[in-house]
Amino acid sequence: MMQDRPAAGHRGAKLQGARSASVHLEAISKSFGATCILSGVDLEVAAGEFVTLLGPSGSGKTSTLMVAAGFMLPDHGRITVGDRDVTHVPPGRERDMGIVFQNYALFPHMTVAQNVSYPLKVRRLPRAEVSRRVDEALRLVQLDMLADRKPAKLSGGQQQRVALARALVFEPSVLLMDEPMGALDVRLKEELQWEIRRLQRELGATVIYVTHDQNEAMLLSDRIALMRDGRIEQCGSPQELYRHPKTLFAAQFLGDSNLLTGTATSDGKLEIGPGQAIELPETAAATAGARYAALLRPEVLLAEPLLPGNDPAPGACHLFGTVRDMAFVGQSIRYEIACESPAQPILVHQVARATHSQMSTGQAARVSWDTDDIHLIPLGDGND
Amino acid sequence: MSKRRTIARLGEYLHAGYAWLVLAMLLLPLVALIPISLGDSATMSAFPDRISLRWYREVLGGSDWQSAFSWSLLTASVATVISTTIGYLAAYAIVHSETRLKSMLEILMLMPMMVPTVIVAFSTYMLATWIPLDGRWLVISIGQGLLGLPIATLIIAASLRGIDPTLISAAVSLGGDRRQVFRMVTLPMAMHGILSAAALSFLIAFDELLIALFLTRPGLETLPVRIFDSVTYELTPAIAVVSVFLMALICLALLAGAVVRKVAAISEARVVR
Amino acid sequence: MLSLAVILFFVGVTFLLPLFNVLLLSISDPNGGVSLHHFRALATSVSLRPVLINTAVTALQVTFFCVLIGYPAAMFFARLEGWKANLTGVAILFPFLTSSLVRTFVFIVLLGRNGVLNSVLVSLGVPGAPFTLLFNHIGVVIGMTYVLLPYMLLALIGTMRKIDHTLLDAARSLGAGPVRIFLTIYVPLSLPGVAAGAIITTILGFGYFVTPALMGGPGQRMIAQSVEQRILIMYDLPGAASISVLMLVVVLSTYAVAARYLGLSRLMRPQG
Repeated sequence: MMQDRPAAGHRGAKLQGARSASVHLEAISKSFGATCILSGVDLEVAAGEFVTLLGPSGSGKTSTLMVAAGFMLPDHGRITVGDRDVTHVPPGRERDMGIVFQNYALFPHMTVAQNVSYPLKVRRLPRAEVSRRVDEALRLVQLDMLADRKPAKLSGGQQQRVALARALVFEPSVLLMDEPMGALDVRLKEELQWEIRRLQRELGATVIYVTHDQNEAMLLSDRIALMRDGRIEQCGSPQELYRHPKTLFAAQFLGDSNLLTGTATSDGKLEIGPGQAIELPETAAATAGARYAALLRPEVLLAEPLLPGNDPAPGACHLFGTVRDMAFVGQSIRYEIACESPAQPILVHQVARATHSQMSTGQAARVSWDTDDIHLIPLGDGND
Repeated sequence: MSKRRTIARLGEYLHAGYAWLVLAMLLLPLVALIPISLGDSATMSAFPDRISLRWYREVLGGSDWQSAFSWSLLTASVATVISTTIGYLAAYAIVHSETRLKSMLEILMLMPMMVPTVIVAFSTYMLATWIPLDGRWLVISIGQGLLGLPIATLIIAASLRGIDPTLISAAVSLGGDRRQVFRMVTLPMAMHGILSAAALSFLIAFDELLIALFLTRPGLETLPVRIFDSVTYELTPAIAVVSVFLMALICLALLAGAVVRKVAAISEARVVR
Repeated sequence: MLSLAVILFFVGVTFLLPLFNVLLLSISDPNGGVSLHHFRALATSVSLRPVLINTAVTALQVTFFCVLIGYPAAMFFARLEGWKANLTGVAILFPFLTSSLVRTFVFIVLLGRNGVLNSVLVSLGVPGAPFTLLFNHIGVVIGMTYVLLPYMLLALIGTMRKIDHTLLDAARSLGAGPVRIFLTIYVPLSLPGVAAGAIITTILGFGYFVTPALMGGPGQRMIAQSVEQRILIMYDLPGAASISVLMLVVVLSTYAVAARYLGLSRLMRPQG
């Protein structure tokens, strides 16, 4: 068994030469009639980088991918791969991109091996070379046992691996993936996500990936490009996007969020209600008088029962309220705590330790946090 | 590269042109029947020298064409009732029964379509030998009904399959008895299929030649038999006139089908709202 | 269960029983016994052999032309959407529904020595025109191709419409050129439609009566006409029965083989 499967790094080095290239989309726009589906998309993907286009449906993420793939011609803008302008190169040998389609697009009349060998046969590679590389690719996705099956006889996850092997086998300079996990169930999804992550790191492939699933995006990507209304709202590492979203949309799209809106005061606080201000971190550098939203992720909050001994005075880094609802979801307890000043109830995800006393609905509670966990999002400019 | 694209574009135009040409070749001969029917002389041409309604008068005034038409109308109507009724029963049994019976029944229902028409006609001829002469027209109807049965069964089965079985369960759970459920749920939802099945089996029966040819006798001649004889022995524009009438009938059926579909769509939209 | 009984009674009495009677006739013996006498007569019949050959040749030729003419056209029609798809659908359905008598009749008019086709050919100065296109083999093949083409088109379009176009995109992205995509993806995926259409046209062509009867000469007689002649003119019912049984065996075994590979429903519902 060990002999059959060489070490991971070695495997990768064998299939993939140093062919992965950078991709640059510049000011891509596209409209159909009066509806503008892409308006100035800019995206730079470095060689060997995994970038995910994330966004709600209709945000233009699939269109961006189709433009990158060459199936859709942009009205304006330029696409370069490495230093080659491929804007007008049709999809195919010259464009040199591997694509994993949403429904996998496996040829139903061909076996797994025939599917994977297709791009090599098209390139008229010698037969020995074809079978060697097909074997390698199938071993890479752990499907060498099923080489002679037809796609219809495979499970969804296996089909997905075949599609991946087929897109990788001809060593394209870029790999494009359009919601490849869309049709899979949750558990399988997670397994495959790790697998894709491993493969991509091993092969050093440049990947542009489309999904609407934020967890998937965060697990896989070096960087995430969050899309909205045909443009990229924010692009950055998963951490950056989660911790420091630049807009309310970004803050709300990724994960659960509590947003306390208010006006910055001159003494470094945010007034979120009449006579109620919260302390801001020193690094926030808020302009006094401007409006901001303070982002507090539910997991950085601590909810405690409000006991007679506790300090009832409204403080700078806590709020008081009553538990409106609570649910136990396994890894955490989720509270909805209704406070006076943000109209929305505060969400708290709290790791359920044995020492924590669980609160019940209707109980008075104190929600507190560490000031450094606050991230400020400037409001205005149609941002809210 | 732009040269390659030009060639590709040209190829596409050629392809489209060819396809429309094939469609034109399918339809133009039928369209040509109209000028042929309007000819004045006994020889037929797609470009008659003089336009006249002479052959229309001949056909409409001639008692033999009229009686042929009424015989066809009679046999085809009875045949339609037969194939639609039996087709509905069979489709219901096929859709709602377990596998072995289902495939047996399916093959049985498809038999008249699989067996060459001559043989269906032959077996109908045998059937006629057991039945008194006065009942011959009914035997023709039965044979024509058999020919329409496979299509009718397929269409109705398709529309019955389209009915969500939970709807029936819902209707039963709401207190409908079998007959009410059939009348208020199944029938309206399968109506489109039943009407299409009826229309198609009518056309099949109305156009059927061989069965009627085998069973024809003086005083019992359907329209296709009359046309067949006429093409064999006379070959006059009268046939074109009758053909134009037949095509008008099909146009009417297609139009009615479109209207039914539209009405169904509208009423569905209303229900949704 | 009552409805099942009604169906079985009706189909049994009106179809299966008479059909069984035809089978009995074919193995009957002039003295009321059982014998293969009629089949032996068929096997040695000099008049029937050319009819059989002609029937098979005509059916296969017509099928070939239907595929040849229909395939490229169906490819185009299958791609259409919206009102264009509806229009072509009705335009194919119309001749499909029109009586084959009518369609054969109009070809008799158009293909005659003074018909439209020959007039056009003469005025174009085509050498040898006007051609004899009626009451010979060419005429029958042209007429039957015209009559059966809609079946082929419907079968092809039904299958081609179901071809997933992302497969073609995928092949393109993997580096295949248009010809290669056509040959390695499109053709194999449309093959079931070709097979279904070809089987339907062959079987219908094999048992066809109207067109060869009206457009063919004595040399173009086909097997269905032999049955008709034996029943209506020669009153040779056992002879007709034995030919019928022969046809039945050919047709049903073709269906059985085809259904094995394509499924019965595909054959019966070519339009998808």
